[in-house]
Amino acid sequence: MDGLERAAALLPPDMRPAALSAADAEEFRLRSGRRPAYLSGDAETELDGCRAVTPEDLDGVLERATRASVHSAQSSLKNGFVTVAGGVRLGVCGSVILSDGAPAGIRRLSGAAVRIPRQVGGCCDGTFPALTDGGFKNTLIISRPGGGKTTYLRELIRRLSDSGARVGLADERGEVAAVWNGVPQFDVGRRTDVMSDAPKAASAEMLLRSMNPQILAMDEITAPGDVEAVFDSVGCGVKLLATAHAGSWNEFCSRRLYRAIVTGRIFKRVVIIEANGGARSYSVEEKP
Amino acid sequence: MKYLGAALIFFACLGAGTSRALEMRRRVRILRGLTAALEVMKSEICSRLSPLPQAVEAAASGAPAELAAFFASLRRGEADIGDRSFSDIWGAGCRETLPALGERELAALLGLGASLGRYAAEEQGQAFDACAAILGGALRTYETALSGGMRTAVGVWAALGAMTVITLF
Repeated sequence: MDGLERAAALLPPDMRPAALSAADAEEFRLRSGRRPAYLSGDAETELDGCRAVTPEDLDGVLERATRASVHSAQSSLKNGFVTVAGGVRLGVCGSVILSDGAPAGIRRLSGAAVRIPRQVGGCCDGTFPALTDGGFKNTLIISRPGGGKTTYLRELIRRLSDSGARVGLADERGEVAAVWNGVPQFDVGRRTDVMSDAPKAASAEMLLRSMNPQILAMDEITAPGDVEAVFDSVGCGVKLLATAHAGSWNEFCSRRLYRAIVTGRIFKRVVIIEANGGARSYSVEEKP
Repeated sequence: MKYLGAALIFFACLGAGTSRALEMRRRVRILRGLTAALEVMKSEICSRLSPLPQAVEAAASGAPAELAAFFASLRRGEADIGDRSFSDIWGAGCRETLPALGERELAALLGLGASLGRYAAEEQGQAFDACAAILGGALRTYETALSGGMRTAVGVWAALGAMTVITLF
């Protein structure tokens, strides 16, 4: 079963044939009261011949995604997503349940996004020699949202791991390795250890303490806690590999959140991914 | 011929009494088994956050033979999760394999099925407690009836048979 089939299998049965015919879909979007749609590139297109989505449909999608075990997925659900077998990721939104001021879960779903997993082998072939020239250095991957950072990161981790490096992966949202029932659903290499579902700082600390990684990888530095994780790890003798949302290095530098990273000159190499329609181009910049 | 007819009537009534008594005993065994199985499921779900199929498996492993068909139907149904809701699978299992239960007990089990796997562990825990309270109450009632009632049931039916024979002959 490929990614599209796995993702379509989460949808209500009567919507599956239309979903399966959307071969270029990257994501399925379900919003209560609206017809389902799929995302390809930046364009969102309604699925042919489908009725409007109901709240019961969304409950059914969640039941299928969790194999009728919503309670088992509660820790990731409070962050708004669930990882499913095969690396499919279900994002949900609805009414957030707060406990002591922090999200504790979601109920009365109003929408869902089913992300179709793709392992794009070879996407870092062109840049791999430049990234390992003189040994791997702290590397940052940047692109706009949906630009392919996670796919690139996953492939780079696999290449580094298979070429002999011990990689520790702090996979907070489960998107990179998509561990399901203890087994990574994506190939992240022979020497990669994955810590899932915990904040990056905590995962990084546990990996450093327990797995002795040579390279520490993490996806999406988006919060002050993530920046702290970067600083905590950088002094421990491991190389860092991370991703961040930004259209260019200048855009990255202009964001207040990343100022300390820039002034601290943490990353020595930056991979910039640019999406032109469906195609992606990759370039490597050396930093002082 | 006359004696044979009398014997047939008497033993038929005695058999009916025995059958009722055995049915009551079976119902008690089912309710005892269900109460224990639901306790295991509750622990698996609420304490260990185990996925539902794992919780069902844990409960099935210690369940009495009277519940084998029920758990077998749940296992078969698990393959259909995705096309059918677990609440449907649970409901069908209860209706098809636990006909010995009374309406109130069945309704309690169906109510529990509507919550299983759909909500947070705490909410499912409350559904387990509500169901266990009803099943527990029914179990106590049947146990009390069974302790003094088995011999009585057989005796009443036997007496009824004897009286019929006397009246007819």
